[in-house]
Formats: sequence, structure tokens, C-alpha cells
Amino acid sequence: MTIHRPRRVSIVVILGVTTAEFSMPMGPTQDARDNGDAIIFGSPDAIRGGSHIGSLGAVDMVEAGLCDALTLDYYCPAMLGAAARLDREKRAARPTLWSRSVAWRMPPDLSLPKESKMRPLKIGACLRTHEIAAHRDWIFDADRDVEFQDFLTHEVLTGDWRSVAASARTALEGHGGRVGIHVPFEGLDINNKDPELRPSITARFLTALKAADAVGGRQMVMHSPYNA
Amino acid sequence: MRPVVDKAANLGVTLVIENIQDVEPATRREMVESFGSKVIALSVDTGAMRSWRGGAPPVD
Repeated sequence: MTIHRPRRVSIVVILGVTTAEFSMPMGPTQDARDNGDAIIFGSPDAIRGGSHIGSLGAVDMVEAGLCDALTLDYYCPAMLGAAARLDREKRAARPTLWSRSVAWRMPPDLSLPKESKMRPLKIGACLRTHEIAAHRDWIFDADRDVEFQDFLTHEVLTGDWRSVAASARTALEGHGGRVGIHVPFEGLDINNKDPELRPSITARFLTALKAADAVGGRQMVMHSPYNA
Repeated sequence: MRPVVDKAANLGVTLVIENIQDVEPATRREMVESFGSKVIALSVDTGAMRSWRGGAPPVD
């Protein structure tokens, strides 16, 4: 699969986002248009006549046909004011201005599927076993997810990792959140091509998997090999 | 990685590949999908993008 998109936009494509809000440069804005995404700019920007940080101006984008909706942006009177200014400057036909501001409705392809729900954000903890005691109430009261950082070194995974895992498991007795570990990464490129080194790297990750299982972990974080 | 993915499937552990110095997430997604396995997945670490890449744009 290849996504021919600017870097800044490609990450939101992976997340399934189909709306470009307050796009700053022209590249991602045009890219959003080409991709059929909705483009949103702010009404206060339109009232002001331009961006206060030198980004694309809402009035220009409306005129260029690169704005599908104007948002209040926390200032309720802004929408009518924006429509009035755009009308006064004849940036677009009045019905268009009305439909893109006051009367704008989310098009069907932007609405959430009926079965989907936004889950409230719950922050988890990334720490070592000995640090759990200090944050015990915060972690346990909300069953926050925990990622153990105890297995990040070769010393642990080539040594008595079972004892470390047993301590970690004990520290989380009664905890109902999800658990995972972070594996070592220094010198352990998962994309290493050297046939002599690959078996060693694989073996280290297999040991890490046993450690993950031993702490009751269902997730193991590994580092990406890419740097571009 | 194949033996690691197979072992992860046996244990019921999901491997999540976290961005560190990555700029382009699509490359990592291609790699993850190439295994055709549900036990290897993507993890988006916005903090890593800022701290390791320096000037890379944050997702917010």
C-alpha cells in the first residue's frame, strides 16, 4: 500500500480522519480537497481578515473554494460576523456563505457510524515495578493500563527475568487494567539483515515474550526500525 | 521477526510497533501489514515524534 500524501497528513489518514481543520499551509489543504475530505476554517479568522500567525486565511480559502465549513472556534458571534464580512467582500455567493457557515450540516460521510462510540480517554502508566507503590491508588482506582519498563536492558533478559516478572505480577495483584511491557531496543534492530546477528535478536525478543506473558501482559512494545 | 510473531500468537500477546525516529507512518504500516497477523499492530507515539525527531511536526 502506498499513500501519496504529504507527511503531515498521512498520519491522520492512518487514523481514519476525513476532516482537515485549520490547515496551515496550502499543500495539505489541496491534498485534503483532492482526497474528498472536508476542510474547515475558523470564523474568527474570517472576521479578522486573515490568520494571526500567518497561516492560510479563511476568507481567501472560501473564495478559492477550499473551505467547506466555518467553525465558531469558541466565539459564538463569529459565525454570523464571518458570513457578513465574506458577503460584504463578495468572496462567495450569499447562499454558499450561508450553507458553509450558519446552515452547515455534517455530510453523511463524515458522521460516525451508528455502532461507534467515542471512549473517554483514560491515561495509563509507563513505569517500573518499584514505582507502582507511589502511584498505587491512581492506577488501581481506575484500573489504568500499565506498561512495565523493567525489561528494557540486556542485563534483565539475560539474567533472572523470571524473578523480575514475578515481582511485577505481585505488584499488580487486584489490578483490572491492561498490562504490557516495553522490550529492549538498543542494538536490536527488528529489520537487521545480518544472518549471524538475526538469530540472537530473535532469541532476545522470544525471551521478552516469555517475560510479557509472565507478568500477565497482553501487549509488547517494540521500536520501529525506520528513520525516514 | 516471523518466529516472534508466531510465538506472540501462541501466547496471545500483541506486538505493537512504536514510531521512534519515523517520519512517514505509512512505511511502518506496510511492514506491520506484511505479516498478515492480528498480533502485530501499530502504535502511534506522539511524544517520540517530538523528542526523537526534534523538528518533526507534532500531530496536534
